[in-house]
Amino acid sequence: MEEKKGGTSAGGVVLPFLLGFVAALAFGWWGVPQLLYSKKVQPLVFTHQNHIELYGMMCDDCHSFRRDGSFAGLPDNAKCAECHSFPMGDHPDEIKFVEEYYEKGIEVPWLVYQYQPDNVFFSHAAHREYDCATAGCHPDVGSSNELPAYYENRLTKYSRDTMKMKDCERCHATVAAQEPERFAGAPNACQICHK
Amino acid sequence: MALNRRSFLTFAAGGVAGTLFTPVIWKSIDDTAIWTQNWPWIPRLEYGPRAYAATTCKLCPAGCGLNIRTAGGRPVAAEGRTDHPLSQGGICPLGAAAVQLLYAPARIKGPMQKQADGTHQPISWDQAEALLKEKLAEQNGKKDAVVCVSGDENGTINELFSALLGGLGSDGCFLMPGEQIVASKILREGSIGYDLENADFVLVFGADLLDGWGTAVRNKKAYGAAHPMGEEASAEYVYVGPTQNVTGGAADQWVSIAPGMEGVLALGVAYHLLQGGMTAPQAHDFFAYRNFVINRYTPEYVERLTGVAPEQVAELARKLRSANKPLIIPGSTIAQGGGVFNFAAALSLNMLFDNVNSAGGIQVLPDLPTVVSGAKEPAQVRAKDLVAYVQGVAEGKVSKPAVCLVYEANPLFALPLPDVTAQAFDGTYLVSFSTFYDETAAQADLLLPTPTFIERFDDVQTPYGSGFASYSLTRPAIRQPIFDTKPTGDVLLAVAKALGIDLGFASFDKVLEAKVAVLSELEGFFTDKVQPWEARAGKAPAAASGNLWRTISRGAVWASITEPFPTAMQLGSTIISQTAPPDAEDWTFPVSLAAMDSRTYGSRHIAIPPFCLPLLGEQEIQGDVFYVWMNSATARSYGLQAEDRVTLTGPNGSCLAKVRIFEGVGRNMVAAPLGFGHTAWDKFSRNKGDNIYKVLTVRTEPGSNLAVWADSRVRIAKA
Ligand code: SF4
Repeated sequence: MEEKKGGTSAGGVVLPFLLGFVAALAFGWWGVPQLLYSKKVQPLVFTHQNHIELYGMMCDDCHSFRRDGSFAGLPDNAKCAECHSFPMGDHPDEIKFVEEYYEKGIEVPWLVYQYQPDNVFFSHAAHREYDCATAGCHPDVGSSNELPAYYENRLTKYSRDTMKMKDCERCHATVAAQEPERFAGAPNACQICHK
Repeated sequence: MALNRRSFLTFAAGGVAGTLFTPVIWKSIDDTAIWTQNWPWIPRLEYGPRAYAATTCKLCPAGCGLNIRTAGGRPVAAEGRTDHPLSQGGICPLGAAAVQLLYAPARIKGPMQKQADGTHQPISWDQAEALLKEKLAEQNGKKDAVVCVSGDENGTINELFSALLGGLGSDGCFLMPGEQIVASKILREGSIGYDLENADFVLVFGADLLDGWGTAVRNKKAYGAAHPMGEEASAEYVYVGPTQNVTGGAADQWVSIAPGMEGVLALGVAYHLLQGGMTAPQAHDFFAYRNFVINRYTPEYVERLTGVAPEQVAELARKLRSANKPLIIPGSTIAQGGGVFNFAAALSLNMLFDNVNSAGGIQVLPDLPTVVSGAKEPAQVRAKDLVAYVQGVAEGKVSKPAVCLVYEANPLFALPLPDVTAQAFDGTYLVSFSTFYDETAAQADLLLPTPTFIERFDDVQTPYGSGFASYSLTRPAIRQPIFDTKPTGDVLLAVAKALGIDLGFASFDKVLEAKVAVLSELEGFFTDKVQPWEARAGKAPAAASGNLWRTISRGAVWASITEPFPTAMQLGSTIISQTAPPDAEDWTFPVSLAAMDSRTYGSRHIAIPPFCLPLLGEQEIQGDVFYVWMNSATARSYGLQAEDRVTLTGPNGSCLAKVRIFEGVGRNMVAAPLGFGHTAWDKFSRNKGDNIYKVLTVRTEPGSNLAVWADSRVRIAKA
């Protein structure tokens, strides 16, 4: 009786513990993200690759800086319509853009992977020397043929790809340390970003 | 393995341990914190394309060009427009608050009617217009039973008011008081402008040129251009007035005199010029003028009245004579309530220098032709004296109007003696078109809110003080008005139609289009390449052509420098001698009140916006008590010290304030800002300081019969 108790006790403790442990890991690493994020797709198919490779366009043909240094972000209908005011080809999304959006005067509700929260001041102009993709701030969609899925946090409503404060801080710390003279304005003081 | 209590607990323990190796807890804490940023009542930024809409400011009569910056179609900021000759990139504090005012809690959200219990209840636009029509129909044909008070000095809307009133048999279309009313007593047609940009010596009497007077932002630009940083100034500015207001502080020289004494000093200067042999052969009345000035305005007399030493007066005359292009600007410190005497006396100096209609001189500017049939000429409207009328009604000498329409004006707050004004209109059916719940709206029987200038089409014709005739449009910078407002022009047209009065237009936009159309028959140019002052100095502009409406509605400014009509010049000797002030001391009210008007404190019809409150210094307002300024000698003679509470008492009212010691106020004077003491509006603008209009005293100027109050006097006492 005692032996049995002892025998089952060793296996009886380790196994449930392990099972619980593994279940928690699975839930935490796989299940929670499934629950937390809803997956959304962009309203239209868009290929960066074609625009760059076939038509020789540059990033800043569309994602440009204005004269005042502010970043224009995504192009609006008017910009797209410089080429696409009539459907170019017969892709259904091509027609959809012209008929559903451009002609009706509705801006395409593109999902932006990287909007910062409203309490952060971020200037693209101050960061224009850094390569957006390799610096790790953005997913590198520039050479892709399709836009990645957009994952929205059900709780916070932010994109999963929203850059975290620690990423900003890390870069500000290293960059400011590397060339303190040049980047005197990039310390990690709160008011640098939270104005 | 049996599932017993122990294994379940170990399983749970394993689960807890495992969880520690996943991001679940940290992520939950983090996301919960982020979630709190997104609660629906937390303000969000609007995303969307950014754009600029070029328009013209209507918050005061100066007519500056503004760029309204929008994000996602939503106005977010107002900025100065570099391409507009009346602002040249500048903006005043009030203009900078324009977008904030769009969302101010004081805005009226739709038409309302006053109830028996005194509250206002919403009604529909159809009901509101029907009610207005009914009230006006009752008065149809009764002489002067309907009046209107407009605070818009230079908009075409006044044509609709005067034509509608005319159709009803009334002649009572009034403007809120301003310099143009005084100027109209001198010049019966057109208005007077000042070519600051081309002058090299500017002598200002009273007018706070760089803040609340005339085309203030343009004036600042001209002043700035003449005073380049680190270089010799190319024009000298001398300010004659009671305080070191913005103009007095910036000017190269400040001559302190009491309000109301400007004309005496001007004639004192004229005395020296005439003694020095200057003549004005082009003026018919030169000899009468010369005799009058030389006999009466001797250095001793001028010193006795103004306190300015004779050498200083002679020095001013010398400086004027040695200038190439002297310009003398008459005005009152508060741009209202000045008399004809001060105005005409200062203006006459220009004629001695023969600088009428020449570069750097005074300009006679044409009024643009009217387009609404039955409308009065602007000069006829300017000739009417609202304050005298209100006083007449209050005293029972003039019959009380049955209906009063108030547009872009707040007469129950911003006329001298607001209590008398309230009494005069007591029993009158008061209709307010204000979009803000101002003091007049709070008393009104019917509220018909107009959209703000950011939400409507409107126009600005030659603002008073501008050196050239001009026209620009105000246009909506927002797709939809924020509240259920309706442009007053459209309301007037609809009501006129219902009354069977044909004003000839279907909408106010069409009125403006017609106005623009008449410009093509006049000589004018767009101010893109050549500015009007450059044109006056000899640079040739290209005549305006093409589709004028299209160009002007996108922000272009039409300007003209043509001389409107041959002006037979007079020095005004008759009017100057008739309106000369009596030489008597006032012992009951011994202190001169130098009221101050600044765009930081709002304008005549706009209360200080919340946006401007942080601009107020510690010595302008503390808590709900505001400051009046006096120099230390004046304070001492009344036993006052800084921070003491005082009352200023005029013949009809008094105000409570604190004392600020400021040596930039003349002796035996007290300076006090207008625009405080609002009782309506919203919690941001209300209950701050006291209303100085309460202590302004109206007197009738002999000779001109004009109501005058810029030279009010008070008693001061420790409170
Ligand atoms: S001075 Fe008058 S017109 Fe110009 S920005 Fe200020 S409020 Fe507007």
